[in-house]
Amino acid sequence: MQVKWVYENVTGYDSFYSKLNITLLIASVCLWKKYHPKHITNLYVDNTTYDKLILLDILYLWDNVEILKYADRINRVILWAGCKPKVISQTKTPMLIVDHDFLIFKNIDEHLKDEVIYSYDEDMSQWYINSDDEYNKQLTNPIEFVQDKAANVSFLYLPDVNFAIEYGQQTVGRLTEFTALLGDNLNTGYLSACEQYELKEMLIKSKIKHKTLNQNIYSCNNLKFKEEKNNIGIWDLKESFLSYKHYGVDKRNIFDNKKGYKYVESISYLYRCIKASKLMSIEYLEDKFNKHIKNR
Amino acid sequence: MAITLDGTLSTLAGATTSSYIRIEYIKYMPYAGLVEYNPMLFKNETEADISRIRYFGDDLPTSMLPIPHTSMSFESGSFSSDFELNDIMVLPLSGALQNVSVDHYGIALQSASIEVTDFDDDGNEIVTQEIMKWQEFSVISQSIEERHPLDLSRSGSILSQCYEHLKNSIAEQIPSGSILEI
Repeated sequence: MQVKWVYENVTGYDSFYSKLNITLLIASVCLWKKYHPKHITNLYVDNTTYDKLILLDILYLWDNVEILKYADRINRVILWAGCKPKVISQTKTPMLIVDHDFLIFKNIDEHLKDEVIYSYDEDMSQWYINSDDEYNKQLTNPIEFVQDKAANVSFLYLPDVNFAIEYGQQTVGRLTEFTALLGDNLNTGYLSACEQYELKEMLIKSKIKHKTLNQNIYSCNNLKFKEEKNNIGIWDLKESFLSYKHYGVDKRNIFDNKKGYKYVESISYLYRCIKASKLMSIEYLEDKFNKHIKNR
Repeated sequence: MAITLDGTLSTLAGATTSSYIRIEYIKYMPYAGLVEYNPMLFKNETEADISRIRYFGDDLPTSMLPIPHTSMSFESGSFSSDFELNDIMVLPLSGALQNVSVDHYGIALQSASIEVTDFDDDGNEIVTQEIMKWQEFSVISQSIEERHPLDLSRSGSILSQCYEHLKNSIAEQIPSGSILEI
């Protein structure tokens, strides 16, 4: 199985590389390799990130590292995940794409068959544009909004190459059009709709079999899983918390030591995850951080 | 549905014995605790008819047929009085004051303990407890306060209740026998 991570410095600033985010990225790949030693890991990065990760001496953690090259006119500072659908659109094999803040704690090979799998369903909220959006109506191929759930793609398994290419190309196309249409009025609601809502809509409209890791629906308003379940999930809530962890919006709270989240404890936890993979020395990593990472 | 006055109503547009008062719109406003409506006065039923467009695309009336509610007087037999009609009238939706338990809402930080996968110093999997936190819009306090309860379960049409309210308001100025509902 080809497993991919995409990490792009969308700001161009060195402060983009925080210790927390880089540690998450390392923990993500280390745990993946611990539980899936036969999978082929791939990292897609921009030139600046490549240079930074060379300095940190962590590129050996992936089997392949590729420099992102694409000319699509997408405002990536706001539509920050715009490079992910591009990577998906260029796949030649079934693939799995994982966010840098997604940690796995068990082998999931038994589930990687012919059905699309993503992390969980989430309800629509202010994080998403809706059917009234005037700019969406101006798209060559507007999002139709025929259902009310979005697919969280912090983990996304795409077994059908043709579907992956169609989804990736359609997302890149829409992000490019939104960039041209909205200019300074762009916001991440357009990214969420193109990347996550549209995936769920495509799967339903095309009657493509799909599953979620978590049975419970995530409430974007309350930032927690609801009691409500879908009927396509693999794990219940208790199993899910033991089987994977998606940091998502918690990253900001950890970074700022807010709402009861503690930065130091979180870093220690991630270090234990990395150490458990036996792929990297924490002392060596700390030394590299001290030398090359200025942002905590 | 409309109200006509049995008598002579003197207005800025001249005197009329066939005055015609019609409620043009009603705003049902439970958040404000009231229904708001506006009565309009016409010299007669024909002018009231002309003033109302029936089909989209109809020509607009060439002049404003409603009569301004100023400087009016009413005569019927030996009765004579000034007559006033407000442009906007209000029908309260609320009842008498009563003690009620009031919920106060706010953003509350909630938490729950969950089991997560962790690792010991040797890299062995262990299960530990973690506190999961989230924010929720919820009731954060309650108090007993005096409030006017909203009556949202009115029986019968709101329009007919507005006409009833209008009739009662007019009856405070002229004999109720002179107020005819048509």
